[in-house]
Amino acid sequence: MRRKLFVLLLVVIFFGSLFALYAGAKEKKITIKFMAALYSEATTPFWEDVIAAFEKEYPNVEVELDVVHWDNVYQKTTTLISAKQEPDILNTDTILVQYAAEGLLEPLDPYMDASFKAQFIPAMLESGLYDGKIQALPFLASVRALFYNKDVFEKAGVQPPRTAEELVEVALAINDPPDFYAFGMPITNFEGQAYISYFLWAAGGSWLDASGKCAVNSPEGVRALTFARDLVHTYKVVYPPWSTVNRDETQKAMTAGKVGMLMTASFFPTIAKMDNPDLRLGAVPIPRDKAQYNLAVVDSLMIFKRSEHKQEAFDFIKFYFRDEWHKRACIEEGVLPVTKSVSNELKSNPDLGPFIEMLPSGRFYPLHPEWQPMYMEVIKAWQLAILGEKEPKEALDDAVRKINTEIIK
Amino acid sequence: MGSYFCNKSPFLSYQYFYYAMRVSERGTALVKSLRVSKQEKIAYLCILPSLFIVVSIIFVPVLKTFINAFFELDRYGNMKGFAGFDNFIRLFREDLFLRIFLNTLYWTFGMVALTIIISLVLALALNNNFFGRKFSRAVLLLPWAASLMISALLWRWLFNGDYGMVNRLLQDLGIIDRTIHWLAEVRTSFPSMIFVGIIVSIPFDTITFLAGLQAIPIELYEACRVDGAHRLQILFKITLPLLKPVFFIVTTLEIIYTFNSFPIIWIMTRGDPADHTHIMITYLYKKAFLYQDFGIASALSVFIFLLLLMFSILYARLLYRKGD
Repeated sequence: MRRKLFVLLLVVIFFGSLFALYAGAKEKKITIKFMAALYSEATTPFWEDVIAAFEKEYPNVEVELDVVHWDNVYQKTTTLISAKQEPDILNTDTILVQYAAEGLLEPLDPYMDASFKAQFIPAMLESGLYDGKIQALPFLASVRALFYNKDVFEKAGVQPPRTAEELVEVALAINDPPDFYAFGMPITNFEGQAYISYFLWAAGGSWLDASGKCAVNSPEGVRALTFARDLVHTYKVVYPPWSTVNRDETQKAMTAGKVGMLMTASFFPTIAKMDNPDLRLGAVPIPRDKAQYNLAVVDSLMIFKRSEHKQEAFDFIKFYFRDEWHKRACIEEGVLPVTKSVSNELKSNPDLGPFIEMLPSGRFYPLHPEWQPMYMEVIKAWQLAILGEKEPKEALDDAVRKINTEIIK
Repeated sequence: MGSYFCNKSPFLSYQYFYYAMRVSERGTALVKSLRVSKQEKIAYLCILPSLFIVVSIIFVPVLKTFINAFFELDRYGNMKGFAGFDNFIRLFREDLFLRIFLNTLYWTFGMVALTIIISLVLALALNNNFFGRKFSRAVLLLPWAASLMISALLWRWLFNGDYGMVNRLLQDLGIIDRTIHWLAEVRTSFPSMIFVGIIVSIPFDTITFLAGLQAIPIELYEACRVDGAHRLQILFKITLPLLKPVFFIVTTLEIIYTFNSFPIIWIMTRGDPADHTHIMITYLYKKAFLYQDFGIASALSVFIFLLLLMFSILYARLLYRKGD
């Protein structure tokens, strides 16, 4: 009898403590969860400072910060959405179109007053426009450029290339395997779509045709892919682990003096300065072939519809857009501002000024809910063709067929 | 019972009554055997919380995945409609499927075979008394102490073409004359990853074999030596056969772990270039979370589960049919 009572007591204590833990975990303040993407080592300290200042001004709100690397942010978000536990605020890129298409985002027009809306550069607001409603606010922008190692170029006596032909000439002049490769061309699942865009758009091609179907296998697309393949196999000027080492790691290789040229985002000099202050980087626009385009990428902040504290979440976003914070984010991460006031302030900044000029002529990735599965298929086709396993036209045709029948339905 | 049908008399009712009594007796005996003793009841009560956790964390998701595999799923894994074998058909029709399947076999059997051989040799060596044995055993456990993720990350940088120590070491030893970008091409990256897998698997296998070897009574060896058997005979006729149960456990566990070993490949190459170094489990992850195609991912999960289940059953039958 006593033993039975003892066991019963154990069970009660066990379940009782579970219950107590749960009950005690209920916050007395409002907590909003914010998932931010990791841009650099400056990201986490920046957000912590913003949150500290915000919490001082709004004492009844607590912000839980979760900084996630870009490599994982899509998967983590998807998992959280499946578990119906997505954060209140999310910082992510064009994948937001998927969430908007599923009706997961809270339209932000009702929260914005006229003066708040007017501070944004109009073209930037397009990035969050879906179904006629603003479902995300632009958070920061970047454009791309061809960066080159000034010391190497001066020593070889060459000028940075402006066209595709010049690129080949210059690369051949400075190439010195196996210690130094002229051109970095990371085509991996992270940012591979950017590299494809550089070549594809320069050749006059595009991702989608007028009817919204994938068109990377057009003659221009094949031309672009053939050029990339030739850089690797015919001219042998490309840093060898191009298919397994991603953009960020290739940036590090360039900072360490192993790669001479790399097309990447405007925040590269800021990052490079942290690793190697002696590196002298120059920047020229993405070389043109038949056309000249720059890739503009806007990342956004958005609020999920299932959030229980949407007004507080919006207050936090509005807090970020105060000039002092937005400006600090741009300077620390080396990215471009999306508000008119900060744009004007930073036009004279040596690192950002020239790119701020380029931003209005930037071209965006296509805004399509199936953008991610589509570009992953195209990245694979590019990899297969450049590895030499398939001819460019065949690889692209196969990918496009799969995309247009199974992915874009 | 036949006679019971033939008679229609009071005799029948007696037989029927007798039959009913016997059935109820059997029933009573059954119920008696089901009745749990007090101690057993307390035991069940104690394991109830753990059982609850195991069922909800392991059993329920597995069951849900099985069910999901037969439905059309949306981007977040929610069911949209019954799809029969559609997901499976799409899975087998994938142009990469055969390649990934073969990759998985190559990966599993290559790694397990080499690991088992090396571990067995190491265990036999460590079974003897020699100076520094205790130290050797401790050192052996070190790769196992580090988490698999950390080991994989470390080896990714060790195999790095520009900064890696592997290149440095091989160049200094004169084995290679220029740096190799190990993880950039399939023919060097896949063997490198198998190598890493072997290194991290050896500790567990060796320790288990060692435990098995130590369970063999020394008297057996002495008796053999008295009879004049020499070492190889002892090894093959006594040691290995007595090690069979341990051997079975180790190989089965290793095959299952390796088949589903995710961290090494995902961290070292992520399946690239062009999905050539994927095994089934990494491809499953990519399909689920990067392509957001949960239908194919669930179908693949079911396929892997059934494959491993079939393998375990067949392997057990095979090993235990041969002798004993």
